[in-house]
Amino acid sequence: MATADVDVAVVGSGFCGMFVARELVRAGREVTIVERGATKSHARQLEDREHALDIPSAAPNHESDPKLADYPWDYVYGVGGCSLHWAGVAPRFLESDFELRTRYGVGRDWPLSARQLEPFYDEAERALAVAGGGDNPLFPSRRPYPQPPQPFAPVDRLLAGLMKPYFPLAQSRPTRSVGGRAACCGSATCRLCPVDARYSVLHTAGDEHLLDNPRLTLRERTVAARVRTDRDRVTEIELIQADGERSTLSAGTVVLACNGIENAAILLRSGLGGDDVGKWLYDHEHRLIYMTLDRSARHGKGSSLATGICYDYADGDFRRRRGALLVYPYNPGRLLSDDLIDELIGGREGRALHNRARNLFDRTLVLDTLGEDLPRRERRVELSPRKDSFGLPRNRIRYPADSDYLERTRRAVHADLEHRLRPLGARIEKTFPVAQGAHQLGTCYMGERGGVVDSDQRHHRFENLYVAGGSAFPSYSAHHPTLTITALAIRLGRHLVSDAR
Amino acid sequence: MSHPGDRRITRRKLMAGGAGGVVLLGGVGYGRFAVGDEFEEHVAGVLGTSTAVATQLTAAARKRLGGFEYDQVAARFLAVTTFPGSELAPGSIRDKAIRRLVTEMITESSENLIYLGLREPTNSLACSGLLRS
Repeated sequence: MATADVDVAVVGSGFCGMFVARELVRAGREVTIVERGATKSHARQLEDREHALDIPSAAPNHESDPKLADYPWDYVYGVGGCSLHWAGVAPRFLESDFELRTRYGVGRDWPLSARQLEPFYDEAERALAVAGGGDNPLFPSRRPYPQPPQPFAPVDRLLAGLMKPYFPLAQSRPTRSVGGRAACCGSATCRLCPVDARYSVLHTAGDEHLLDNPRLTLRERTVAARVRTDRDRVTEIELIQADGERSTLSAGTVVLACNGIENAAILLRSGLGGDDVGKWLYDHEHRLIYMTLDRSARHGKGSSLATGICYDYADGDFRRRRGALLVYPYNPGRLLSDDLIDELIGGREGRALHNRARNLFDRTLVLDTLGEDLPRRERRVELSPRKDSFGLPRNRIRYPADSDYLERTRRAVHADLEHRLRPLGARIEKTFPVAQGAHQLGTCYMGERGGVVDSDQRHHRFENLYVAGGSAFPSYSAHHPTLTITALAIRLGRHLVSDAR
Repeated sequence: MSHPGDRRITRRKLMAGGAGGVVLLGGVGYGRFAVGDEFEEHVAGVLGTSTAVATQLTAAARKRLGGFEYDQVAARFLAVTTFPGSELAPGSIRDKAIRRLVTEMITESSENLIYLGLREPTNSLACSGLLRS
């Protein structure tokens, strides 16, 4: 066998790629990270309010299926990937999330258990300095969080008694400064934190001098076009630099650690599709609920964007018929710009307008929700006949967002919220999707027999190819995926270290 | 359907004329208002808030849009919220002009709080999105 250019090549530098690389470098392995985007410091991101540099290789390379409504997929090509723009909510999955089929007869089980992932969850929480607390019985054996919880905001105190079980929200917006990070001070602009408190993998890279480590090579501004294979092994990666120059990189092991769209696309471009590659795509249904109360909702105050969470819709036998849903108040409350516009157009101005806005803000309870759905084959990534600027097929996404399972979730939870918040005179005014497209899950799912990868995220057909990250999720939970992606990445890094011994 | 030389005033011509007139009026009016803080005083009156708050929020819009685009957006807003533009401007033009400026003035929680008078105007988004309870 020819000598490889590098021991391990990791494609992508977000949560998954950076944590796999960290484990390998710590163990003395040589790693090359291939990243489409470029390094951009947090200070520079704040200057121009953009997470990524505007270079050809960092341009979005997807399109919606023209027969369907457009869906706003949201990802970042840059060193740090989606850790640059995530909001910072970092819960674990429930035990039942790994056993959906066994417990409720729907969806899929994961080929590993919550118990197996638990030590890696612990490490991920430490790395991200997750703040949290409470004694949630749905997490029976968890250790204390690395950081104390963000204290309940006034709106949490209003709701906690009516929305039990109700706990502090697990989040990577620290209550105390840690490493190079400030404590969260309630800027409420978490996607680009003005004080750099919300975690990104650039914190870990900086604190541990990863990008200066001679064992780690970062090939930024470089597109991983395809992988080449020989029998049951990947031999090299075809690369295209932002300036168009082409090359190859041979590696002993290849880890695809991109988002769920691009991981599948690399396999498809490489002719390594199959029954499941690119299928089963999911983005959590993320929706805001505006409820009118007969009293003040006490919004606008608190120490962080969200601080408490209701777990009553997170698990139960109902998941046979409808999905789990997380519900948590959005501390900033109602954003008034749309209301001001509507009122101005309707002719209301001056003090009357201001009074109206004040009343709307005061009496509106704003609840954030994140919901699960069952895997659906028709939600998928394909290769488009259209090409990007590098001559590669664009990623065509077919994503019919709605389903009966989701609709039953909405109907049941919305009715129950009005019922249980009746003491506050609560009525749902409207619900609408927000921050869509940020989670790209399920396109190369893990299964012992079916799917694309095994429980170690190793490709079923190629012994030295790993397809890791959110794309490996067999089912989706209602929980935010980042902590689970990070725990799986740490576990994969350790696996690769032990596999080489 | 109009023909070459047709001098009838069609609905489309009226709309186009109205829109053009509004832009012209806005440009002339805004040029006068842009001196000093007369535009901010006007915005304060429309939104029912203080000049200091309107100054802060319009500054945020200017920062987001850049000076050149902001001036155009502000001119259109002025035109459709002052007489005679407020009466003559076609509805869609008026709605768009209002939406364009207000959306850029209030996009963050801190700006919401400033508009409501719950927080003093501040130039920084840092630590200003929520009031301490």
